[in-house]
Amino acid sequence: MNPESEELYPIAILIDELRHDDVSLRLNAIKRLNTIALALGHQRTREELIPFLDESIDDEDEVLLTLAGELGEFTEYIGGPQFAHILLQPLENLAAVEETMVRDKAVESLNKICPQLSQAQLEQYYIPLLKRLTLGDWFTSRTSATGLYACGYPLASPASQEDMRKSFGQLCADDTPMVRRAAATHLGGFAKKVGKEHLISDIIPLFNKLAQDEQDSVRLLTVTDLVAIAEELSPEESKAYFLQTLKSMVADKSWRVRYMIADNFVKLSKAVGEEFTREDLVVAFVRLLKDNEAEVRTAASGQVPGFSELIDKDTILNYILPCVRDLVTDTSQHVRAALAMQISGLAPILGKEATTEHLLPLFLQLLKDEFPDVRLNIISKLETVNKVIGIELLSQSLLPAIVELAEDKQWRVRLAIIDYIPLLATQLGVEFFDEKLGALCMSWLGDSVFSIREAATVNLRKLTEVFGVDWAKQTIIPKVLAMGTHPNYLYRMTTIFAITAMAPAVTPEVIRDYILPTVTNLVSDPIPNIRFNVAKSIEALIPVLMQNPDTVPLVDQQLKPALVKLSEDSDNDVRFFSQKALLPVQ
Amino acid sequence: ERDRNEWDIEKAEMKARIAFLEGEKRGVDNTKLDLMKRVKMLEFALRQERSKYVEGN
Repeated sequence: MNPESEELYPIAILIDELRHDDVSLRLNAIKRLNTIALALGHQRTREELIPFLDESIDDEDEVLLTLAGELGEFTEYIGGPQFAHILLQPLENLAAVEETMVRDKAVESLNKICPQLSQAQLEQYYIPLLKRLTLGDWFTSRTSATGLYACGYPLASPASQEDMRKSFGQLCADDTPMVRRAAATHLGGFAKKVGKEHLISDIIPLFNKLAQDEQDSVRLLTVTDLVAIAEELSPEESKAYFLQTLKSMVADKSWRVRYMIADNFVKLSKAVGEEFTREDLVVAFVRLLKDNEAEVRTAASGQVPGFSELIDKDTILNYILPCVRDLVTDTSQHVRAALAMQISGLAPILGKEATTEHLLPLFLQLLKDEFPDVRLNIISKLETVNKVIGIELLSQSLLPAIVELAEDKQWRVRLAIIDYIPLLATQLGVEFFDEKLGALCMSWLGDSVFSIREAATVNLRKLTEVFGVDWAKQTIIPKVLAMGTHPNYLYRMTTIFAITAMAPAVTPEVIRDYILPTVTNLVSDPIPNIRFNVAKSIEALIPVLMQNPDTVPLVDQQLKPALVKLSEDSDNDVRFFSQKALLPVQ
Repeated sequence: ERDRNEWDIEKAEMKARIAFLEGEKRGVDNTKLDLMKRVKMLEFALRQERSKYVEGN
């Protein structure tokens, strides 16, 4: 070989690249590892590259992480599945390093390679690897091992399956909580693979042991296992095996465990079957709804509609609703917010009558909550209730509450309601809005607090976006323009603000026919405040008009003369703002 | 005094920016070098494969 080809030798290049000081360059080198493999060809990748990676890599975690990911996709570069076991060696090393991310990635890659192995490869290479990791001195390799059982199990011979179950049992009883946690995390996945007979004889005892672990971090991870195992069993079996465990979990002294139960309650109920749910879970659920830790109540509130779907109506009315009623006045705002988000989901389940009778009062109470998120959540889900009880009934009970809030003495409360108006309008439709809320929106324009007036003008623009320009032309614009002749100059100012805010949302024709005449009228207003706001408004209108070729001439015909007139005003500010507006058009 | 301070701060920011850009440039140059090497390597491998193929025929 000549010296040039020596340099082109792929592994030499890789070594070179891996010797860089700059981590990002080494990272790039590893990311493009398949180029090297491609240049080497299958055989030499197997014989040279993989052993090299196996022994000589000692790098930053970031580089190792990338390597672990790359190796999972490497089967095609080493000659296909019949050689896939060669990748196990370097991945085994990576699965034992200290950094969690690297280990997890290595486990992920191993799980990708595992299904490609033949049974012979599995027995000869994979299972021994599993054993070595399971018996590793450091907890790192043992934690990695827990993630590898589920994948290899279905392929293994019955004898090795027996072994695998035993060694998984060992991991569940490990001295360190880290390994027990990992075992608890992967128990559910493993349980799904072992078949029913062994599930009952081997896995359930393991589960029971972990569920009673002294560490609450281990116990809380078993909740998802419970769901996974219960899905494999028939309802009677779940009841026989889990009733006791479930009871003790709901009453666990660590709130984190109770939280996990509450958070997974619907999944759990679906997994254990209807009968069990009706007979025993209702009591447990009620208990969680009354938990003395707010986080648990929040999680449980989130499950209310999902759980109610699984039980009959009487049970909801007798057991669940009283709790919900208590939660509406809960001391924690997060609980109330979670409940407000979910409570409307109960309406379709309860039907029209029960909703009107039981839910509406709760609705109205939540609507008056002092915490804005609660109100927002309840308003954003009105559509569901609307479908059940119809707009008539809803508006009858809802409207008084909204009107009351809209006329509240506190301007912050009024402001809060204005923010929700566009959302309400989308949910309830144009007819309802015109009839009931239209006047309300207009009255805000004449509010004594500026912030309310300002919010009301923005609100008009949003409504125009929701209901369309034609609607605005008929309903809003005439009323707004009528205010332009109001004796109080503050009202006239509101008109200017409103049309400026709405201009981007309406069509050029509307601006030409309705807005421009009003603006040009106000140019000669006696109050200087109005005049310079007209100048500002014109400044905002110009770009809108410039966008459409039909209205471009209007700028020169109407707006420019108006501005020129204003720029010769006797008031300083009027001159300033009109000259500023004139600048871009000259 | 205040102008002077502002000027100092601005200058320091500019210097930091220059240093950053220089570093980036160096990094990109190095990457380019590596990539060139890889291209050569692949060309070499391709040539070898091809000569094998020709011999095989």
